[in-house]
Amino acid sequence: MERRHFDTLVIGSGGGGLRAALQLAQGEANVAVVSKVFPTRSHTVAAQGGMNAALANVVPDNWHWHMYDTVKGSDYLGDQDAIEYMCRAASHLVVELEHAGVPFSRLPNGKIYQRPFGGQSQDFGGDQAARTCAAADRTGHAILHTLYQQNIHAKTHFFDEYFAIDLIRDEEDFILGAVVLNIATGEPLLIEAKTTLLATGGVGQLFRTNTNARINTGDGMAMALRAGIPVQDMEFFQFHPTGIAGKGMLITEGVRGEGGYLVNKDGERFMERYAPHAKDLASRDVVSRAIAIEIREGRGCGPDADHVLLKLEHLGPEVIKKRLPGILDMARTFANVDPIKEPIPVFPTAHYTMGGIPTNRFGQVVMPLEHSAEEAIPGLYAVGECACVSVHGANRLGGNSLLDIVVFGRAAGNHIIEFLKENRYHRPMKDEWVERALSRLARWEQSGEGESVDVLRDELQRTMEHYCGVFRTEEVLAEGVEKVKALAKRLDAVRLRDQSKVFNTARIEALELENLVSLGLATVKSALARQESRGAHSRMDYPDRDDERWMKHSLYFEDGRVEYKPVRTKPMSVDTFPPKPRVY
Amino acid sequence: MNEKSRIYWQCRRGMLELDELLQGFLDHTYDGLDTHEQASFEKLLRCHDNLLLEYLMGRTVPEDSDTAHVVKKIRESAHVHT
Repeated sequence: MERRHFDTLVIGSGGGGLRAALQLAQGEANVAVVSKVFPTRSHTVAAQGGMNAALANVVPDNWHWHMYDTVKGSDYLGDQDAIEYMCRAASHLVVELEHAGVPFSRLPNGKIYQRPFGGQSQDFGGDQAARTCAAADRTGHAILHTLYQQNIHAKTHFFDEYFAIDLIRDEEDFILGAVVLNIATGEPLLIEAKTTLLATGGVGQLFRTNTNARINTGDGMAMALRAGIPVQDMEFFQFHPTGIAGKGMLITEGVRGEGGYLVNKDGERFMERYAPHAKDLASRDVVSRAIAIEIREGRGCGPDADHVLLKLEHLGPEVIKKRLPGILDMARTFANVDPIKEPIPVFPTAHYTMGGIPTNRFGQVVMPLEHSAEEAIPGLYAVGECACVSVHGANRLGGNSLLDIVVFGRAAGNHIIEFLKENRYHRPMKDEWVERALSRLARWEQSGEGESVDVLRDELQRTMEHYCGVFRTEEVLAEGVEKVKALAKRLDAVRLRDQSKVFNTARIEALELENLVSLGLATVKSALARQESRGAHSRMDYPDRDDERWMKHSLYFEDGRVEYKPVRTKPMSVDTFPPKPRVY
Repeated sequence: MNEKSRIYWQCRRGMLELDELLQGFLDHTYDGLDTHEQASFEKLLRCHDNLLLEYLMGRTVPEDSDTAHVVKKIRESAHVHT
């Protein structure tokens, strides 16, 4: 097998991976970036909203207020040292991106324009703040392309269309790189690296209805699990109430803001029952749960009674065309309905993975070992949606995910540079460690009759949606655990019809399915274990937040154990924000 | 088979909307295209994601007539197969 050697291997080429790679390449490190798709086709490109920073260009603002909002938004599950670090770094990093060429929208006075977003306040919960910097509606695209161009210039080595199989971990727990697969040739490649950074994004593909690109299969998280590293807070998954049913694309809250409302199969405006005052403008989790209950109680629409309808015809064609043009395109293209004449079928759609690989604020992957609950795995880092640092805690604020990736991408890059100074040579590699990774590939060479990848993935997504979506109780989740376990068993019986090597995308999808199944189990087990409602994790049978028992992070291990570690409530320099009821 | 797999992988994009439209087109319509149209489709796949979204959602019409033709076909295919 071919071998290559680098100082750092970055797996994933979204904003987090590319920001780290840039820091390293500019620091004279020899960096490889492995990406299963062409780098600028990473999911960062889909981030439209923008990036939060307390620049105070529109109204007074302050990083400390941003920190307060983020801690509160996280429902007090976020780690306050990491949140302080992120909010303090934000303004500097926006300016840096601007200098690198990101075309942020401007105010008439020439300063960067900032828009208000939900969850932003001035003066610790006071008036609405305006904190989100955006490059029109293509901020993620602009950041990703800028970082890619800078990496090309800095001579980062790209392995485009290579799929990462598994990490190599030695007897002293050092990570020595990874075995990756060249998708075009089907040949494995061993990349030996003194440091490895996982930046593979979230796992939205766990759910049938989701807003994520199909590449978001949690590959890095699953690799970490197989290397003996736990995943943290997987029970926290952000859902939007209105995705196009069966497809997942987001229908913005703006539709309900303009007067659109939801109805069940009887034509009843059911939100009046769940939230008599706010009705269709109630908070996301309330609306999502109401939709799920309507469907579970048999009041869903369509031949399978599996969605509800979002009505906006009554607004009239002028209002719809003028204020909601994007929705017209979306509904016509993906739901095949004309919202001027007929309602849009909708269902809650999975959007963002708050959980992930546990890290500290330097991007080092940490886990309970001999000496402490947060010991660094030498040579291993993780950033972005695949990591859990944790700045989002139980729920992420809009505009904080692009910030997360650039802040911690850079921080990880800086820490790696220091690590490389102390670790100048590649550690010895043993064949048996490499064989372990290769056996994962060999498993897919078994031929004969068996189950299909597509069928199993579809069942997994439906199971996760039904048993671990927005409607969660002990009974439902316990049944979900058994269902996903049964699917995991069936995975052994899956066979590939096509055993060819060149561009065998069926094999890649089988490897992705393995990753999804292990993360499905992690998610549903962590959700069953947490007997409270906090942020995005909402339990019908435990409707309240329970700080005494549950203000702690979950850690799920591949053997099925769920352990816990305390939230880091002590910031770097300011006072702790103690938990308070989260009221908006 | 593997040539189509190669193109299939080029239809894996950073946005769900593009995955849905491009992969749907590849599954339902691509095989019925003539070689010139197939080449236009491959060329279209080289566009960056945001421009592709503009084209495929009908917000921008490509200047090049071959590209405009294949974009129209993708949009039609989406309506038939939704």
